[in-house]
Amino acid sequence: MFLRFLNLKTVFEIIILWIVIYRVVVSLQGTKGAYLIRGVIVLITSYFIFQKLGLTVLSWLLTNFFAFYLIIIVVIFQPELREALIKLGQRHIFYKGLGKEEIEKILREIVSAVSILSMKKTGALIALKREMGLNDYIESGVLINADLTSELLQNIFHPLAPLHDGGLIIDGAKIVAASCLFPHSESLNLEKTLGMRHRSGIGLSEHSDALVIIVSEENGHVSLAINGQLTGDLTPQDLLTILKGQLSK
Amino acid sequence: MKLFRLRKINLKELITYNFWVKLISLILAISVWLYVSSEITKGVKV
Repeated sequence: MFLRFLNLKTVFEIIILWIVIYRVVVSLQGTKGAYLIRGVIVLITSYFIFQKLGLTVLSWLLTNFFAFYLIIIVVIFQPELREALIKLGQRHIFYKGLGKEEIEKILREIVSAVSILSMKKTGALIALKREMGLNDYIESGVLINADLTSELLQNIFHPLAPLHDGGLIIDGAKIVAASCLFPHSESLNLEKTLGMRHRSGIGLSEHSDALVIIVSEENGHVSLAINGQLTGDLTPQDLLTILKGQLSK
Repeated sequence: MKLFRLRKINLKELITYNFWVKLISLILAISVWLYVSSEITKGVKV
């Protein structure tokens, strides 16, 4: 039945729909909005099943409930929708991220701060946002929205600074928030010696596509968590190379 | 040669990165298209 409609126009329409849906799903991952997507998938699947089985009463109920569901979505996710619309206005639809030079500049600032924090054995937890939204974690901390500099990073993680506890989130060239709560990893394969900072770093990398840099306050060792995997004891040069490789993808 | 290798890796990553999200999004896109186009066809018939 589908093949009957298949032509160039159809393929083009489906590809556009696919890109829009994919962008929405990716930006909602790791936020409360993920439940919204799950809800929509359950409703659409149920609707098709009820239609196929000829269950008219259930189909009717579902169709009418769907209208209510749309209103509920707008009310509950008003802040997320507002942010998404603002982003849509600010960025190109096919926004790919920062330029190579900008990425290098940001990474130099981060690595410089991390190496100084490591030398001073000052604990730090830094998350670099990639495609997935980190709004839930940003909301748990203190909003900063400042330009990223090595000095500011060092200042935030100073043991006497009020925001040094918890994680810091970087989005592009901005420090978005500090003192954020990251989820702890529930993996049973982690070394027992790993502290809460490392577990939080790994936890966030399991729940999102963020790159998480951890500086141990015990020995000053620098680690990087990507997709739930921790790479430890990195030199500044190692860190820079890995981050460059990950962010230029 | 180096450039060719780089392109090959990128294409693989383009498909495998977030694979399940991409697949579910494609299924959703096809479902939405089928539903909307069937509704439009119904409207035209009436």
